[in-house]
Amino acid sequence: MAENKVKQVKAELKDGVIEVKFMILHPELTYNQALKKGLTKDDANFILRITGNIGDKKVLDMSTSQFFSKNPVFRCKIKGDEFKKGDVLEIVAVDRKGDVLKKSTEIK
Amino acid sequence: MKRREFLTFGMGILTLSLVPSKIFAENFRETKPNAWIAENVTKKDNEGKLVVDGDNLDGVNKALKELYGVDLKDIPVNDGVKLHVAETLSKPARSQIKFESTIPAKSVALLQSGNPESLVTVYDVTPYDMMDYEVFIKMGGSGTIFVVVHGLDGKFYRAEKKVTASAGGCEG
Repeated sequence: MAENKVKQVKAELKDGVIEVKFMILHPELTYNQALKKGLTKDDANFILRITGNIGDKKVLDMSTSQFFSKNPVFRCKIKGDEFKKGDVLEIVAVDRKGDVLKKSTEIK
Repeated sequence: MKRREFLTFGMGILTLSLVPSKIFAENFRETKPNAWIAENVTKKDNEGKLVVDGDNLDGVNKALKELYGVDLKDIPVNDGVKLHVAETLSKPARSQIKFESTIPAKSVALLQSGNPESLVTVYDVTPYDMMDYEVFIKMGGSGTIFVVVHGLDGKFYRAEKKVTASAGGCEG
């Protein structure tokens, strides 16, 4: 079984805006998909929350449902005035089973 | 205001301003659990199979009531909220959705009427969040996609678009 993890975090600072893109390797198994596979609803597993931090500053905060695609990709824009190239962005995702998936990258 | 009261008040304001912003972040899964289980309405298709009725917005309305305490009909469409999604979703299992808001906001929610439940995600808007997003979602069938912005002014604003899922959509 493939390992669930945050992958390909990219953060690029340009003209005061940090463009963020990341992918999370995760099955995003819905309740209905679990039942169709002969599993129970309790076997469904999907990401419940995603946060992004640069240092001690929270820059992104999402509460999420079962309806993101498998291995979902996310993009967002962050105000870059208080940050500089070389600062570290950390993306943290928590799924329904309690697994915590993290990845950090330097802002370029 | 007396000097002591003024200093006490001033220190309070200073203390609040120094608290890291993330302490105030809201986990909507914990604070609004019922919003995530608000089900879209189902109907029987031509073969008698139960499917989500994407034209019925009662599920979206129920989720919004649980999330924000408002009715969909009381949320006006506003040009400050943009939603970009194809009218026909050629790959419903991976539907690309872009949305943004120029309205200063507390939170931004994405909902739809084509899956078993209606709420997809809620962004708790941080001071650094420019509210310019792109996500990829599953659409179990055709329906309407909504972006609802809860403004810092306490008002609500929305954008919406009706979409058709090709090949009957994915298994939501």
